[in-house]
Amino acid sequence: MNRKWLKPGFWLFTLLTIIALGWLILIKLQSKSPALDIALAREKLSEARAVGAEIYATIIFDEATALYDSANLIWKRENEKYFFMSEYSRAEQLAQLSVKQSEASIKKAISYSGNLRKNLEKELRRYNEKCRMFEKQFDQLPLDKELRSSFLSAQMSLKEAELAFSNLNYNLCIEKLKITKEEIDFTFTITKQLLEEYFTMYGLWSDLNAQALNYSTQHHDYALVVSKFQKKCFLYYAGKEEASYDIELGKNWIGDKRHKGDKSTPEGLYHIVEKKSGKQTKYHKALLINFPNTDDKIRFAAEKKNGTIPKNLDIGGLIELHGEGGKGTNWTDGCIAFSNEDIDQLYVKVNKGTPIFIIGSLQTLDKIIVW
Amino acid sequence: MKNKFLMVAAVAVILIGTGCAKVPTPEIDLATATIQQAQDEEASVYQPEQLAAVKDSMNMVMELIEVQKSKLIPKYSDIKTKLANVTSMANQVKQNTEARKQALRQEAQTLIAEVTALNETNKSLAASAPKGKEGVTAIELINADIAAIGKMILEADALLTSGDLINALDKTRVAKEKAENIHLELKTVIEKSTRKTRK
Repeated sequence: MNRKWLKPGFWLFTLLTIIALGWLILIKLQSKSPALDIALAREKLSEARAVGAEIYATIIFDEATALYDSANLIWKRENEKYFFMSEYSRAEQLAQLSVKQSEASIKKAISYSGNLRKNLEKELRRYNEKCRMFEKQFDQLPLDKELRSSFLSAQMSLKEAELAFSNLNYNLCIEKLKITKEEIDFTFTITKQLLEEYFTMYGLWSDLNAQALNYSTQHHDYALVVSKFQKKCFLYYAGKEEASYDIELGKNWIGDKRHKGDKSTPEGLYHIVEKKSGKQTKYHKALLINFPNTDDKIRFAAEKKNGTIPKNLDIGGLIELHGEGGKGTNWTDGCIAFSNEDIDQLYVKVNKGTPIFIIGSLQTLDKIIVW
Repeated sequence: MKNKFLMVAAVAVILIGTGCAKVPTPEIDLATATIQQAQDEEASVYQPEQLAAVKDSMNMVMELIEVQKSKLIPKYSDIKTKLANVTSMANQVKQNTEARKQALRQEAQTLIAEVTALNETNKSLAASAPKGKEGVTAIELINADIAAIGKMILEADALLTSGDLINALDKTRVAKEKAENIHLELKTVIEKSTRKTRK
């Protein structure tokens, strides 16, 4: 009876033991799981993302991600095989490489974003300074609408860049700074061209100033020099500067007066032809000059003839040095405005016939503008 | 002895049954789809950190699945719970993204309306500003600024329509600052002129 059951039991036990042993041997021989390496790779990728490697070290970060994905893929593929046939060493290798690339991307991102931040801060400061400088130096310049609009656009995109910077959105900040740069560079370039062209007359202005000094020396009398850029009127007497006054001009004060209504102040040598006070003027006191003089008339006629001035336009006149100034803006129709106190002083010193030299500037352009 | 044999057979059946525990594919698919929905909702733009955290959790769960797959007796019950958590997290990210977008849209719309109104007020103020000779140049410059702000509002509105909410809001904020400065400038000029007239 016992022998009858012993036989199959023995064989079953032996078979199970062999299977178990074989199983154990196969488990022992099984390739090492890449789980830990892959988990580490994932953690490093996450760390890299947190420091912005996705943006600041894109190539290395993408490589790390691809390596991690490949490691996962191989792991998955090997898991589909019989466990004793799975080979994880490649997945493990890829995961380790992914860790290395992630670490490199972290290093690069930290260094790059730090440098980028510094550079952007520097650029923001630079353009802020440029905008301030432009406002300070060119606020009173009669720039055309396109230039004004460019400058406004530069100011606004700079504000947007600052906002993006404070939101740590460096890419947007770069984009906005690019627009700022384009607009401000355009504004500066055109303004520079305009001024450089105007200052080609500097030699003539220097001559006129020397003539004023000579006149006052030779005649032991007064001569006036109006320097548009300095917004000053200099009173010379016997070859010396006796006084200087702040002045205001017309809106389009750069360049010579070409016709009536152009809001420009004529340039060249003129004389006082009439002194007005009381009811003779609404500007406290006034000194009328001989605009248009013969040169002005010749130039005007020539311009009309060649069509650069429309035929229906008049040359204009009634250019005065008058009071009611001190408004802080260029508001006249082409006259030269003084404060009432200053015109009072000047009024008693000058007479009919006193020469007045109206020039662009007494200083060279590079002394006035820092580009 | 017959009982012993049956017991061994039962254990073998249980072992085989457990060994064949299935990967929770429906749960994986649901979590993946919910993450995709969050992404489609532009969570990468409006909730980038939350989205990254969810993706990270999903990757971790997928790793755990592979760990279980390589085991003799895989067990997926914990993983199912984790996948449910990921799905719930992804849903939350989706909702948070929608909420943030809604809030940003609302803020931008309100701000655009405010700046538009302020710009219109500025236009009226500029029209009623002192017309003296000295004011003309200044008013011309202010009008140019008002026109530039108007252009900026249009740009912000276009960005809002195209769904670029952050940019739209930033642009509107800049326009608002500029419009407020102009408003102040105009009010000061008008006040000065009124005081002068009273004198």
